[in-house]
Amino acid sequence: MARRVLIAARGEVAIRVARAARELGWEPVTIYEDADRASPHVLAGIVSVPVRSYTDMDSIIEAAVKTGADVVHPGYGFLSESPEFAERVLDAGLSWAGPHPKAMRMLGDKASAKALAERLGVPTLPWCRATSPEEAEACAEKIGYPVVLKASRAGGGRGMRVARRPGEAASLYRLVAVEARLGFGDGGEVYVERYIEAPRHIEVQVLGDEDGRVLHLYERECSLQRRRQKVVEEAPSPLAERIPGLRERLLGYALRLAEHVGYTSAGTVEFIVDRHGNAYFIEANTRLQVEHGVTEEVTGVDIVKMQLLVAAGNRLPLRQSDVRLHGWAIEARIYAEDPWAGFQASEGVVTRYREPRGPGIRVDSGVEEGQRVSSRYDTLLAKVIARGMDRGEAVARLRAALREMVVAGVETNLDLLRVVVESPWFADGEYSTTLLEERLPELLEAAEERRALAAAIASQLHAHGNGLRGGAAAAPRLAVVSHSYGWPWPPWRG
Amino acid sequence: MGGHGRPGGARLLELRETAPGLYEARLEVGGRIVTIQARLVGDVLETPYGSYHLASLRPGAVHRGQRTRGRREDWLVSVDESGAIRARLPVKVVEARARVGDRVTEGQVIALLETMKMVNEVHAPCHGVVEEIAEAGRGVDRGGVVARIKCEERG
Repeated sequence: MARRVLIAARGEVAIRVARAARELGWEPVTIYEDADRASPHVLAGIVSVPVRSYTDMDSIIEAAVKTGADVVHPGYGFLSESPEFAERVLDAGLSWAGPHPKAMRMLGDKASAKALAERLGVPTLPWCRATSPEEAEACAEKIGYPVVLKASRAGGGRGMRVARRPGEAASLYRLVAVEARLGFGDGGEVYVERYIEAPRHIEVQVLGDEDGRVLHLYERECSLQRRRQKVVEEAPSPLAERIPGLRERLLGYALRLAEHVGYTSAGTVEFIVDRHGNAYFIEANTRLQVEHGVTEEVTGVDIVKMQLLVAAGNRLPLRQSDVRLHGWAIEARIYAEDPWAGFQASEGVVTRYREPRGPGIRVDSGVEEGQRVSSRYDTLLAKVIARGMDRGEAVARLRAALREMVVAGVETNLDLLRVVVESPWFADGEYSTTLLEERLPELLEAAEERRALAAAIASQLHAHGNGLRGGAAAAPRLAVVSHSYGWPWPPWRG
Repeated sequence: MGGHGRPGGARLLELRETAPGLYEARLEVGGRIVTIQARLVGDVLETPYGSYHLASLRPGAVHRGQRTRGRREDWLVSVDESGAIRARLPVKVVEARARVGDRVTEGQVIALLETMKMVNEVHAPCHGVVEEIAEAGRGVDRGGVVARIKCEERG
């Protein structure tokens, strides 16, 4: 029986889900907002339906019913973490390619998820509430410096301030209290929480089905971030490889939480880990994640297909013992943003786009040449995933892939990524969530210098028939034919 | 550019075509001389540092206006040569910590701006006198002036 799945998402993830549906012999249906009608995902399904907006529940459910869909897959972003939307999909007699709304509520709310973790004996960061500078200070003393002050307990990184020395909590309280009063917090309260210096972000992928089978697909590390936006992710985690017992603890905590709520479909349990391997639960994501691809590459399990199968009422076609780690995978995210202008979203028409290829390279993207990129939506253009027998091979493949990639017409972080993956600390897997921010000036400088070198070379090539194809296009003024050097790389000497 | 580059950029000293479409370039960058091999594949220039669409490397396409370096709130505001501090994003002034005519020292907090549900400090980029500052409660659009400091030359 053919099934039809409505994909309530856009961009690369909509294309990714459509692919999984087709592989199962199902029919994908996509949706689009009027402003987004020219995007590639619109053509990814058998039909695409206009909706008022990607967050308009009524028009999305109407689109699903009208097209005869029997499953709704929310992708990530938009309504993917809305238990209300999940309930409405189920009430409309459709299946939901995500966890039960009950599990979404229990794990989706940061505060209640943390309380649940505490009950189940999963470590969390100690915290307390403060209503005055004196209280903040007392609280910081109790928890122990360094601490972080936040306007909201659930705040997702907004308005976080770190106090490192005695006395600082009281003075930072005033700044954070302003934010809390501005209404970003829960009733103007300030929360003080233990701060982990140079933490690593490690998360566990879980899968569950209606029969109560809950599996893990090992961990991913997503420590390379900028302002809490993940930039490079890998599976497995370099830290978990290094510290004995860490992986087992993380997997155990994640399964404990997932089993307790009877988790179905795919989800992620996130931890921050200090340099000694102490792990603390921070939150759970009750949806598919952007970086699911690295886990797929190292486990061989198609997570999206599993979501669709479970939504259709099937059991997971694998057991925990079937899930193994094979090699290493690293993902780099290409964003339409300008790293030299404070990472502002950039807009424009993609005038040239070339994806890398070769062994161990996978590109999940939603871009095409000639496409207009708008800052109205998520700025993620493509994810380049490199897989290798070991981490070294994955890094080498990612370097080559990013070198090969071309995105022109819209400013991206590609040059910055190239510098990042060629850094020695990256090769060593020695990084934390704060490293990218700290090293940003030097990384940007290196990226700029490299681009200036390419531009200087291009300046001579332009003079002679820009637009012509092939080597014949350019006969530079200074040309002297000599064959003393050839391909392949690395060809340069400093 | 014509092979001369810009200050802080790279200068092309020599470019040889060693085989059809294959180039060897000698460049000067930051006082160092480097030799790089590059390949022209259609309209794409491949270098050991990355591949680029030739047209995207046109002079002017490479360098953006002012560089942003080092300052913590660079993502939030830009400072131009006239001493104007401009918002990079739509912001709301939560508090002005200085008044017109005030003398400020470099690094001093002059205003608190709110954007993306977060309050951020804006520091004076130099020693000088406040010529203009947005009042508390006002919204400032992208590119709007948050404050203007008349910078003093210091010996």
